[in-house]
Amino acid sequence: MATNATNRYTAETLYISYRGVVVDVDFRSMSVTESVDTVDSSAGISRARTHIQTLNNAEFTIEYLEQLTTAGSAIRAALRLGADGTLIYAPEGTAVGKPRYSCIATVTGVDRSYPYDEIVSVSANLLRNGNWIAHYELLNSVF
Amino acid sequence: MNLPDVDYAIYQKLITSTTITNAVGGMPNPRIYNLQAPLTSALPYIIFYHNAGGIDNMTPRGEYTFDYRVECVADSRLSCYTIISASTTHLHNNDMPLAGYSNYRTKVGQVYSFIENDGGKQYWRKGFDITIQYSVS
Repeated sequence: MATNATNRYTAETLYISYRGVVVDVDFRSMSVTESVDTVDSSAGISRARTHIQTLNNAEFTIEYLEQLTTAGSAIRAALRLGADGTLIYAPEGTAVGKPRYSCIATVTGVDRSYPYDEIVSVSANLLRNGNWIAHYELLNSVF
Repeated sequence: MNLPDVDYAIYQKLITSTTITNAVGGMPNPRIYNLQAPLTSALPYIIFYHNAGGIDNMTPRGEYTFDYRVECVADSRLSCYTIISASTTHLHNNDMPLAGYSNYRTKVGQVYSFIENDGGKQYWRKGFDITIQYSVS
């Protein structure tokens, strides 16, 4: 990974594993959206809205270039629609001490694009199923 | 990250077509040159050269996009057209093998023509831009 004085970084060392298959070799981007639901607890003489946190959630989108079936069958099988398994990702790679994120996730959508004159790409959407198994910010998880 | 030798790949690809090598002549060393033909080269001949492109930085695997220009120089329009047309057919949408890399896209794009006059002679030039994309195998 390239380093610099401002400690900014790109995802060139991002590691992604799903259902035991390393799927990052042809990835182009991964997005992680974490959210928490709230219920309104404002009442009576409240002058400003208040809320209570309820359920939290995490969604993932992995965009990658598809390989021909001769080489890419393992990734196709791993990220097939409806699959459910362990997602592990590591934005800074898997060296000792680097942040680790993991959860059970379900593939809830797969978008494929077959342009005539461009490379074939896939976008897979995953939804966390249950709580985090590992999370750097929440659980101090590292490799 | 290595830099693929696309010059080598294009030359090796062009010389596999006997239509092209017979048309340019000069066998056993067909008149196909990288960047520039020797000053003493007879006509017709083909030159090809890197025009733009390089490393894509698209995925961890590593991809490359090279834009090359392939050009024929001849002393007649028909000769020039015949050679560049054969070159288009031979390269467009066909595999451009290179050890260690996987060629996943090869497309001819823009085509151009012009003529030069020098020393009382006409030099017909026709060529095309070709995009060649590799990923690391």
